[in-house]
This record gives sequence, C-alpha cells and structure tokens, in this order.
Amino acid sequence: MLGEVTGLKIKILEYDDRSIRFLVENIPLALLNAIRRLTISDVPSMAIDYVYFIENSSPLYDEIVAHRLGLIPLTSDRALEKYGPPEECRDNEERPDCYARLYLEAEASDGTKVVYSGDLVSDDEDVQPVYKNIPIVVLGPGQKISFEARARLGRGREHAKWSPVSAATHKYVPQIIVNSEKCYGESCAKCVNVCPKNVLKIKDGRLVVEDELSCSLCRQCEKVCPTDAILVSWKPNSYIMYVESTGVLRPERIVLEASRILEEKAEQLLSELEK
Amino acid sequence: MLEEDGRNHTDRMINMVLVPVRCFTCGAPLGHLWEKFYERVKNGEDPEKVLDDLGVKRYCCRRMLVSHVQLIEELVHYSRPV
Amino acid sequence: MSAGRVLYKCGRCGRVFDLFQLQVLAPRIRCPYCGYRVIYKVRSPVVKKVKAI
Repeated sequence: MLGEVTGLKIKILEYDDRSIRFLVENIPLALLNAIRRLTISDVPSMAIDYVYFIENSSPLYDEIVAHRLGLIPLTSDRALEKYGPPEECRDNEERPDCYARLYLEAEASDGTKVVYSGDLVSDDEDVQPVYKNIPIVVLGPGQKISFEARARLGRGREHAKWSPVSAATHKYVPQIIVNSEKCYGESCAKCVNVCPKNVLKIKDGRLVVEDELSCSLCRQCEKVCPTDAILVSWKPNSYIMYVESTGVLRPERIVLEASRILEEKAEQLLSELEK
Repeated sequence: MLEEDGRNHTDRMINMVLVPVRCFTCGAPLGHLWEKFYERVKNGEDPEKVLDDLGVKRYCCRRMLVSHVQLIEELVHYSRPV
Repeated sequence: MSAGRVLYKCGRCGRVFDLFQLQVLAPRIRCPYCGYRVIYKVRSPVVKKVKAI
C-alpha cells in the first residue's frame, strides 16, 4: 500500500503564528495520518507537572489550582533542546536539566484580586506562559497564595496538557466537475443555495466553482441537481492538512518534529528487525 | 442568585466557578479570552460577532465562553475570612 | 509547630487552639474563648506537593 513516495509536493495555503494549512501531493494517506497522529501524541512540549503549595487561602482547593496551572501553555520552542526527554525526566526531579521552576506569590490587600498566568515568575526565560492573562484564581480580601511549580517536557500520550496541538486534521482535495451541457445555470441554481460552504457561484448566468478547496465533500449539490450535471470527486494521494498549535510551538515546527519522530520510530523498527 | 438584569441563574449553578483554561473538547486555550469576551458582550455587542472576532472558530470552544458563568466573583465573598 | 498537630481557628475572635484545648475548655464544638460555633482548620505549615493533572 505504501510503496515508494515520489514527487512529494507541499504548498502552504494558510500560515500564521497559531496554525498552518498546507496541501500535500503524492503522499500515501497512511503516512500523512501517522504524522498527524504523532503531532497529537508524541511531539514534546513544556507544561507544569508538580506544584508545591506553601500557602493557599483562596476559594479554590490546591488540587484545582494545580490542575489549572497544568493546563497553561508554556513556550517550548527553545526548551525542546534544553530539557531532558520526557521518558528520562518523569519523576526525576534530581536531574538538573529536567524541570523548570515557576514561582507565584500573591496577596489581596483590600478588595478582590485576580491572579493571572502573567504573574508567574519563571527561572528560565525560554519557559514562559504563552498567554499572560489566563485567570488562575481570584483572591478575596486578605487571602494569599504562594507556590512553586515545576514544569517539564512531556508528550500528549501521557496527558493532553502536553499535546502541542488543539486540532490536527487532514482531508481530501475536492474536485468538482460541472457538466455545462446538462447544467441549467442561473435558472436552477439549487446547488448554489444548498452548499454549506458557499463553494459554488453563478457568474454571467453560468455555474462556476469558486472556492473548490473549502468543499467538505458533503455531496448536497449532487443530491439536489435535477440533471446530474455536478459531480463531487477528490484527487488521489493528495491531502490538505491543518495543524492548529496551542501556542507552545510554532505550527511548522510541530509537523517537522512529528516527521522526525516518525523517522526515528521507523529506524528503530528497522534496527530491531536486522538483529 | 439574582443577576443585575433580574434573571435567576440558580439553574446554572452547576457551571464552572472560574473560566476553564482550555476547551474541554479540543484543548484550545481560551481562558485568556474570557475577560475580553465578557466586557464586549456586556457593552451590548453580539456574542456571535465577538467570538468570530476573537478567532474562536469551533462550536466546542464557542460553547465554553458562551455558557460560562463566572461564579467565583460572587463566591469569593463567602470564602474563608482570614 | 509539628506537622502532625492540627490547629483550629475561631471564625469570630480568630484565636487559635488545638484539639486538646477544644475538648477540655469547651464541652461541645465551639470556640473555647468566645463560644462561637464556626471553627476553621488552620492550614498546616508543611509544603504540599500536588500533581498538576
């Protein structure tokens, strides 16, 4: 099924700080899906693992505060090289290159005070909360909170907080073929109205496919067409992949790391087989 | 629990006390958007437009903000006096 | 203060006492000093390690 991958081509469709959408041509689905799954479960990132509470008189229990802290995304782009791998660092607090420390000490004098993720003081400038205004806890008058949190690299397979992506998907590349001889054009236009993604338009009285890539292959247009003039199909071995980062790593980095991990895994398998 | 607008929110007490940091379903971080969202909706903007503007696309994430009641603001007054 | 000793604090007068004082000075669960019936447990001075799951 896999065979040889030849003539692989990548075209970036959308790209920003948080997400990447790209078209891959001539790639087997199994390979692309393996990469997609590895972005979710195997690409390491930083997240708080343990919290040492010194004081907490806030309305939330220590465990709830710790849980919320664990979910805060921490910048990991440089931490990936700096910190030890998750497998070696798990519960290994003695190793110096495993844990980053984040401190927080807050007290509300009079009136309530919201403690934000930006109030965390990190001892490593490469490991910082991605978003500075996530509320952690609300303190009432006179209440105090003080703790030290330890963050380490982890993988999504251990806990979802270590997963660097909030969405990783792929879909077929749609191809919509309109038979203009059968199509009634403007006088019918049933497919134009039924399409949930607004892919089809009427231009100069004729039906045109305007935004082919955003088609979700739902085939509502085929169903509604009285003359079977429209056909929804897809290109073989071409896919559109979408990766949305939680902010911990750059989106392209996540895909690159996932591909590298897949390569490592394949090499491991090969060396085991050769033994 | 009576809101300023006179509506009773007792039936929604089961809600989270403080905004969730992430979406329960997809794990996208949302906690940092709550205050912006709340302020804008309170000032009369349409929640749908505010969510679009904040870049909250999926309905799993949208329901997190739309259905949230920030109970901790009220609860903190009844927490342990120090 | 040792780690095992649990302390209580009165909700009204704020005075701190332990279980022994509570049993000897007050017949029921109430502040041995002012008689107030709301009593809080004082947080132990030990650092508590919690896993962020």
